[in-house]
Amino acid sequence: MINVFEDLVSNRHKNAAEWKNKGRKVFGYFCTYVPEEIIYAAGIIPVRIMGGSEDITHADVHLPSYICSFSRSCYDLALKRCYDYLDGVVFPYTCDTIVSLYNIWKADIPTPYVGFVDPLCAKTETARKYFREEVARFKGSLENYLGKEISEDSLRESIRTYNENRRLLKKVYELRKGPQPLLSGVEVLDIVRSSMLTPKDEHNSLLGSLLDRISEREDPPEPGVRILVSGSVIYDPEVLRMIEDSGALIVADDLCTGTRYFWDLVNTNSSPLVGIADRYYERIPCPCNYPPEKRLEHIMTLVKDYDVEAVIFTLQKFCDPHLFDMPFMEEKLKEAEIPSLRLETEHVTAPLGPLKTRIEAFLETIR
Amino acid sequence: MASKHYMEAHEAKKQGRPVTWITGYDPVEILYAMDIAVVYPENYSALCAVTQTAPKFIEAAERMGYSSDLCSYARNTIGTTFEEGAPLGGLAPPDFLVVARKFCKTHVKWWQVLSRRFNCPLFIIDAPYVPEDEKEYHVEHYVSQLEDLIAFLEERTGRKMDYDKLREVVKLSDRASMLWDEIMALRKNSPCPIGAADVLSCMFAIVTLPGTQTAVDFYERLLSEVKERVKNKIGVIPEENYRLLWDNIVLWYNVGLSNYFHKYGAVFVLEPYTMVWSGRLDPSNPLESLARKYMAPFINLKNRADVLVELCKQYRVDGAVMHSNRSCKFLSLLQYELKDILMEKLGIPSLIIEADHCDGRAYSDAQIKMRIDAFMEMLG
Amino acid sequence: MYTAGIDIGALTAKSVILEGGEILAYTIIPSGSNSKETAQRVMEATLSEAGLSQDDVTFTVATGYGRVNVPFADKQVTEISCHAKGAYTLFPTVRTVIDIGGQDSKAIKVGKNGRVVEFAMNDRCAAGTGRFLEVMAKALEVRLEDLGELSLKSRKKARISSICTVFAESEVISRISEGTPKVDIIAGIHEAIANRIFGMASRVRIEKDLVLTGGVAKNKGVIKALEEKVGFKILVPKEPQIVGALGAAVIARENAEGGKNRGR
Repeated sequence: MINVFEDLVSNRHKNAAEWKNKGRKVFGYFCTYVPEEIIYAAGIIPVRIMGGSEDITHADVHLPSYICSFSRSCYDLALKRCYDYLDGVVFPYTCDTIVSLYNIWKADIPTPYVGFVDPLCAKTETARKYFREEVARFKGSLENYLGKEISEDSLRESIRTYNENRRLLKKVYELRKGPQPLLSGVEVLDIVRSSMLTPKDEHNSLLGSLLDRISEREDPPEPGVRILVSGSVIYDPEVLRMIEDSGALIVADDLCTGTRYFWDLVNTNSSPLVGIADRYYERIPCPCNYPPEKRLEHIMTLVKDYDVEAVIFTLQKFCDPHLFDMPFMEEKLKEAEIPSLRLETEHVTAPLGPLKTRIEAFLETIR
Repeated sequence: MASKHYMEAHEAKKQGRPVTWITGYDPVEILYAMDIAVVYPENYSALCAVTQTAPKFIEAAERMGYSSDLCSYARNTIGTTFEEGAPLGGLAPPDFLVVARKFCKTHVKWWQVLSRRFNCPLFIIDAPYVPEDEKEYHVEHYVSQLEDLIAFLEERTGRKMDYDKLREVVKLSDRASMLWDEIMALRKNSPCPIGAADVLSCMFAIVTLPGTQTAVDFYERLLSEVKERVKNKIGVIPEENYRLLWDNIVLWYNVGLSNYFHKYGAVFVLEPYTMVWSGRLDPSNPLESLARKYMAPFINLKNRADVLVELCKQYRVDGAVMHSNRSCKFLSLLQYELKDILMEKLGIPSLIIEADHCDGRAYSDAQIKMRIDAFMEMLG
Repeated sequence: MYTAGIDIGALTAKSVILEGGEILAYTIIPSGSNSKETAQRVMEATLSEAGLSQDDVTFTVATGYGRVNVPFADKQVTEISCHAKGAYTLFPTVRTVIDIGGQDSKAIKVGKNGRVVEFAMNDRCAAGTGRFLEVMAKALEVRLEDLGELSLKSRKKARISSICTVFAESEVISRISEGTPKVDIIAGIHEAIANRIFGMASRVRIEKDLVLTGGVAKNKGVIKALEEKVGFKILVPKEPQIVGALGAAVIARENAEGGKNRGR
């Protein structure tokens, strides 16, 4: 019941090809600021673009070395034709690297539809209004591409399905509270990532089955030092595996491939487009668009609710938004007497040895 | 002129006048119209690099936990707010902060750090990203934010915006831009009358003082000087063999690098980065024209490429040197595409050199000079 | 007419004397810490082998990092131009040159007459250079010159990270202690260096014919790994280390013959 999620992640390109064969359209998206519900309402399957574990060999022709390996890997895969099946790709202005990648992808990769959404940094009523219009424009641009309207009903239905997925994922996370969590961090990573790579209605039934049967699980993870992991996109589980192989158990997270993705629901009291826009506008903070105070609050709430003993930051080398927040985060955690460790990772977590040493040494200081 | 400007901010602080810090490409005219003292930490960091004082502050910031992969302007500034001995007495502490998200998100994150450091409010303007062509709604949003900014400033300073004064400031700013454009246009001449190093030392006013009489006076003098040079066919070097373009910010700790090219008879006649600072304004429509000015440059790859190709034609450029700047992803990441475009459309070869604009530790003199030598041999 | 080319690298110094268009003599020696003295020594060795004196040489071009320290040179030209010219002299069909030296690596797109059209170099880091192999050979306790042969014996190459020499070294040491067969580790090292080089060289858009130069070109394992990446056979000169000095000597001849502009 758990392996199915890992399979969805490893077979994502194969699965996408199958949906295409059945006549479905598939759009790729970068980052959790893209209003997926609208894509889904249009009958298109949204899939998150993620890096892979293959060596990066082609990206250097178009990109310098001092950017995160996540973006280099994604682009490398695109150049190697792994993403040829995409009918469209949507980029938000997440960070300076992604916005540049938007331009480069548009120039070099022949994806038929290349969309753009600007999540904005200012948090004022003027900004909120603009963002609502931006979301409406995004819907219009999809309608143009499809040659048909996206109805209000299909938006409502999409919102329902997405909200259901979010509720179910929250329930899955609840299984990690208490002295014997029923899922490990690596397993949960696969569960959340698979949600980004599967049509939501299918994912909802898989989650339903999981929640029904999980209590029967005979091989729950070994409890250990209770860790919260904070970072951006984890596209290779190696670091998390290393943490959990060293006597720790990840029980909560502040990750783009974690709670940031699903923690907030769309408010169904407003009209669908406004509800969607507001949800993405007010969602859990990510360093790219917010100052760190709200993010710290989110982490502290999770620390309390999940009995977290220590925080491990798994940052991508060269990730400016996350790195700017670090001194503040480390200082505040220190004040709250919560031990924290900062790890900077590169592609496929080379080098492994020194990373493992840091993790082990850190855990030794906790208990 | 630069030192005077920084000292004036200290004076303002002493007199109790409001002081703010802003980034390049923020709508400074609004602040000048309200008599707010303004300083530019980026410009100040360039000054630290030129005077070779930056390393101390960069290291201080790194000791505090700011990664060495972050923008070196940011690391330097943050360092100067904690360490002793910053040039010109450091920057006068701000009463509030204003930043536009135009060139990069780094500006916003950096200003967030500063607002925590000085415990003062931060006003963020989003210059909406223009993925294809600029539309009316982009401009309208910027104008709405300017209105919000004015309200914010009125509240902070306890004064009201004097719109007549604003129109005056906008008029002066427009004149400074006009002069700057004229001066830059004279570089189309052969021999080129004013080269990279001189342009750098004359940039200060157009970047930080648009809207002041000082800027206008300075550029009027500069323009007549440059016109004289053109009339007398005085160039940067006696024999001009190659006309080059420099892309991205310069190496502030090594501003003489452009002179290294002189031994090949090569001069820099065009730098997109120095040219973006001017922007024509319409005093009868101050907010809208400010919005257009501050949204204009480098909006996306196509726009940047089209502008660059056009400029290369007008300035008769033979080769491009592109600084792949570790601190500036926004300007650097698209350079590989631009290199291809310049070759395809104009047959112009480009040299991409990796360094940093403010942190000299990322610069390797021998390696860079070797690449320059090889490139010039190639052009030959 | 006799012309000379001299290439002062960080690790080795090479010189070539041409008689008209033919190589008359050449020398390769380790560089000393004093470039000037090294230049003197290597030139003297080649002159002596050719049976000539310095005065017999019409024009000398110096290249390499130490090129500014060759007082008897008539001109200095970068290794980029010299390697392009040298490779072109040996293989007129060349379009791409990859030079892997002891301390740096470069890729050059070659045009008409051996002119440089475009070039790229490794940035600031030893991972795609001879140094990488040297460090690994030491960690594995094998001779540098045996690495190539040994790598060809592997059936299952181990995966070694290619990002940094120092980190790769510690990976190699872990693998040794885990019991991974040496030949597999060596094959993995060759894969790693080939990845790095291929990534750097792709910036000039690799085209046939590709000529490999520099000391590392003597390593059969690197050649094979690179051929797998580019998808075609790579040309390797009999004496890959002297290509820069050869190119310098050819440029010297061009200069002597007609005062033409450099590089044409």
